[in-house]
Amino acid sequence: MGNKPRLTKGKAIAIILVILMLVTLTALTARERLRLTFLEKAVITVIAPMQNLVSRTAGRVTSVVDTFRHYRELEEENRSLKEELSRLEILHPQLKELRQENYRLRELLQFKAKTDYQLLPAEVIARNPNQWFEILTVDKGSTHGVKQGMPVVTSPGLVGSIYTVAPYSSQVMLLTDPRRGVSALVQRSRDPGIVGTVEGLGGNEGHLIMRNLPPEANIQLGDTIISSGLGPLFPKGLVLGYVLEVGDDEYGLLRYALLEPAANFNRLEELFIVIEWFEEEEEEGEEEEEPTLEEEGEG
Amino acid sequence: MVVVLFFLFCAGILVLQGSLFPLLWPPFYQPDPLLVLVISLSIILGERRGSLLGLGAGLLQDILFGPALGLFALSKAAVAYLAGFSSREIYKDQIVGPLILTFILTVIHEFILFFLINMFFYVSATWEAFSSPLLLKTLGNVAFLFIIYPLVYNAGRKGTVFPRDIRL
Repeated sequence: MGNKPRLTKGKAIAIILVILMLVTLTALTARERLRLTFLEKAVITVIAPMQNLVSRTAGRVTSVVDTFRHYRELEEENRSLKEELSRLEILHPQLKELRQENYRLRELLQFKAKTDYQLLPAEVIARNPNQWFEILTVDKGSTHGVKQGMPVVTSPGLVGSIYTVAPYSSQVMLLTDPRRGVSALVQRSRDPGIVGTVEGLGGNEGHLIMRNLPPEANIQLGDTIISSGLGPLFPKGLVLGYVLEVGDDEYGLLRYALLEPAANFNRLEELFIVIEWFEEEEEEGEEEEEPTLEEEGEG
Repeated sequence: MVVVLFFLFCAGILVLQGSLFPLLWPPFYQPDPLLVLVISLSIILGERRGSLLGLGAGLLQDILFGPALGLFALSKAAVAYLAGFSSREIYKDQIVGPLILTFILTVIHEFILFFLINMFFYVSATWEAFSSPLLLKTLGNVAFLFIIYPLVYNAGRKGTVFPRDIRL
């Protein structure tokens, strides 16, 4: 133990000034930033390879340990997958036939283009250790063509979008981050709404909530919610989640739906960054085309 | 010397926290060894040097993971200052004092973050979300103290790492 520390007037003023400076810096940078400073880019660029190395090594070790721990489960899964594969092999010719039929019908309806994405695969190399913000770091950056705001997906659905970009890595703000909002609709009934905030922040559940649904909204448990394509950030038709619960908002004027996210946000390892997408265009002149189909069908 | 080593250590700890810890702990209960390092160093080096190192460590965390610059810098610098300020009231050669300080300062650190997040971000950080993982998180930090504090204390005793005016 030592002497009692004394807080002099000069010291107190210095402390207050530093606190004010840091609070101002936080306030100024709290909004979504378009660019990182040189220092930030330099630090991220130096540390990203280390993150990549640790993440890959840890991933491999975990994978080996998991293989030993779940050997019986894996054996069982292997057997069921083989069965599934043989079932799908039977279905394959049928699917091929349906695909050709779909193609013919599309031709008849004169669709200009299908929805198509140009994807860039990326690996997760770090995750924000703080509980309040859902941000991941991936191993692709501006040198790979990544830009701020690009959507990020996995096979089950939308994951989030690019938040900041460094030369060799980028940060992804997940859909479960309450600052992220996506315009969405119910796939079955096409009711518009907004998806975005996490339900029970910090409660480990990571649910999404669909807000601003009109009272007459046709929405049921289990419905699939997809991105509406309104706004420039996200293409139409990406699966966001499935309805778990429907209720009225606090004023009773609008409805909300609690969603189970399509993607598993706790086990994200490989992602795809949507570099470019081509939206599906509506058929030209509906009234003119319907008779064409009938005519063709009759012919 | 101490500054260079400190930033290398911080970078290493942050890499582990971001890339390894998510595989070992659920996202809400992850301990914060960087905070433990900052507290340990502040106990040894005092409030002025400690808070400067806390500021540096926090800024590094802000750059790598933070949603804004200054959030972790402020919380870690404040906690480091308090650790250094209180360190004259404890026996540095015994772990009990640093242990109690780590327990209290982890709670204060989380509270500062909770306050700043509610103030500057569109995040509805609820009290329940703040308080429910706190105990496990704090215990995790205390566990890390048993590894980090002896390393820092012994480095201080050898007298090669810290400035000459540091006497342990």
